[in-house]
Amino acid sequence: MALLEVRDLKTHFRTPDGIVKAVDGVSFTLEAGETLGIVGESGSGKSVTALSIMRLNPQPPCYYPQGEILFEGRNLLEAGERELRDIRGNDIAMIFQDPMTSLNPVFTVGDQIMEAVRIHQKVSKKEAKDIAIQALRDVGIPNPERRVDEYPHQYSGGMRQRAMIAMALACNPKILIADEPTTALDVTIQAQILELMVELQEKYGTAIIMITHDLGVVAQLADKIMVMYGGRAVETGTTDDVFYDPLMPYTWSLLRSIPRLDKAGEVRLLPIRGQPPSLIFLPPGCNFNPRCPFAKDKCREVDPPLEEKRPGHRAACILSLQEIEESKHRVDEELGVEQ
Amino acid sequence: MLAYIIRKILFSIIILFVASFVIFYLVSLSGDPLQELALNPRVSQEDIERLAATYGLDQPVYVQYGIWIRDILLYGDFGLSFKQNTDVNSIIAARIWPTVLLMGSSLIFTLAIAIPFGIYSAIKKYSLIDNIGTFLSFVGFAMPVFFLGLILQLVFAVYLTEWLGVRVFYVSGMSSRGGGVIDLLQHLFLPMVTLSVVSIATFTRFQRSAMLDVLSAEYLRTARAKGLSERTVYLKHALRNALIPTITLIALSAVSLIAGAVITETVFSWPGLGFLLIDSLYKGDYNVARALLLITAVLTVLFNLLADIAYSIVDPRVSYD
Repeated sequence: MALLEVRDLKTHFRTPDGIVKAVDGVSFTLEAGETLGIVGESGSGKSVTALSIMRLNPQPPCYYPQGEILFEGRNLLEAGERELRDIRGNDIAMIFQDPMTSLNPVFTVGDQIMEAVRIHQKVSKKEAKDIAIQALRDVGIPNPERRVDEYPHQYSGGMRQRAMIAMALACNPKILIADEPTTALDVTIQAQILELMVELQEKYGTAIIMITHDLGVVAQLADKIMVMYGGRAVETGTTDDVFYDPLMPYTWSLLRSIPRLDKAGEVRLLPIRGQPPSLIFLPPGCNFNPRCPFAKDKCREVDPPLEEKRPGHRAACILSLQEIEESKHRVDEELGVEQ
Repeated sequence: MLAYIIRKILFSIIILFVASFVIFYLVSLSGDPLQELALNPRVSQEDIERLAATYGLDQPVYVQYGIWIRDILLYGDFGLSFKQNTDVNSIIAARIWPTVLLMGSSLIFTLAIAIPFGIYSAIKKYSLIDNIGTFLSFVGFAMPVFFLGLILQLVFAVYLTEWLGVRVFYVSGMSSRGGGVIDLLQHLFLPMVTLSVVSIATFTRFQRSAMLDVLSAEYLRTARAKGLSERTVYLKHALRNALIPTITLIALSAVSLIAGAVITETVFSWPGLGFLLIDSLYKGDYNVARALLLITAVLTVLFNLLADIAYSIVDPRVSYD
């Protein structure tokens, strides 16, 4: 049994303009100690997927019309508030994008870590503080005995994200969900935070769901990848599969839109034209067809399911494997990419 | 922090000197305390001149001010009342307790209603109770204090007494002869409510919007992600942040409470400082008026300073270094 199995999850929001299908039929599994990267642009549904696992989307307007989120066999979509609170922070912990606003400014960092420890473990205040100091030391905060009593505003941005990680890992969770943990940080700090996460994962065997729009981040960290577009998973596979042989035109376009240091000035970049689809009025056929460089007539008629194109490598594209390879080749020639 | 407070106090002293002169001068302009005596045929011109010399009234205004402020600073002596043949200090001392009682109970009453209600309104935004609260707040804002006082007197002290045949609330004064604590509360209730209505309206709206600001904060999501109950999320993580602006407002609103007390005490003949101020201005008891205005100025400056200090205590991000 997988540690976490999400089956055909739908997370919808009722709004005055209509129902927003933020997540519309997403499935994936996560094994213990594994890292799953969820990639997609803003509004693709990746954060809502993460918050659905924690059941932290505000209800209403959010509701779950379909699907199952099985954590160790228990369906979290049917769990009561009490049961969810026991799981949150203890079995599944989460860190957020902006460490500047994710810590409560009026409590010390130590208090906030101790609070997480004390709701899930029967420990004294003194013991909780020792755990907090140890957690801060684990994430590389210098002088944790003193830092534990400081307020978040006395920490730098990178240190706050370290403190968030310390808080998330203080209860030794089985799953850590990281929602764009490095987006708000500058590049050198980003690298340090990612290294830290890998290091702690090796030490504690925590499974990680890494949500990002930064392909570099998942390439570095993830064992497998799920690419999301318009509330759906459009490609899943191992990190190597997805990066070296992307089969969904969206993934391929994303990779072609990134400048490459080794081909600078030789190759044109491929911009993805247009806007992400409205999650209220999705285009007919494939969600990506209005922006797809490979689109054919049938793409406007058929909504493609996520199907296995190669062993363990799924993509939601109606084109055959051969058609996809031909299209890639054709567009590459236009861009000047050498085969 | 200490350096900031000292700087602020030094600055306050300058402000208070300017304010004290303005107060003294404006009250002098409003009339001559000996004018009334001059109209009395039984008081001779010599008597008037002797009185003028005794009180320093024949001196130019800035000399009079100098004597006045010197006595206050050196001896804490606010001078003599021209009307009551006694010193201003003892007149004021007798009136402090009623005002402290009225303002203090009003502040507690206000906060006890406004803070929980503001928070509830924010959490249950646009619910029926929130909408009713919003409506009542605007009514409270729009209601002039003297009018509200009169209406409450009519309804709760006159009609209610007629209807029940027993007096529950009193129209005026602070106590009946030989009355105890219950009697005091029967007198206190209506002026306290009158004085509180505008502040309740202000504080409820203020607390509601402060709480709404906090409710969308990301650190509440972090708190929920830790596994905290909604109760703890609201009452610990949100409330602590939402109270920061309110605490500052409490200190600052103490000043407007003084202004409200002047009207309320007059309407209810409450024997406090506000009633005394109006009374002394009508009667031309100038030294009493000056003393009360100066005390108000000192309190205003003091509460502003307290607001700053309170702010740095409740919000760890604020430091004045």
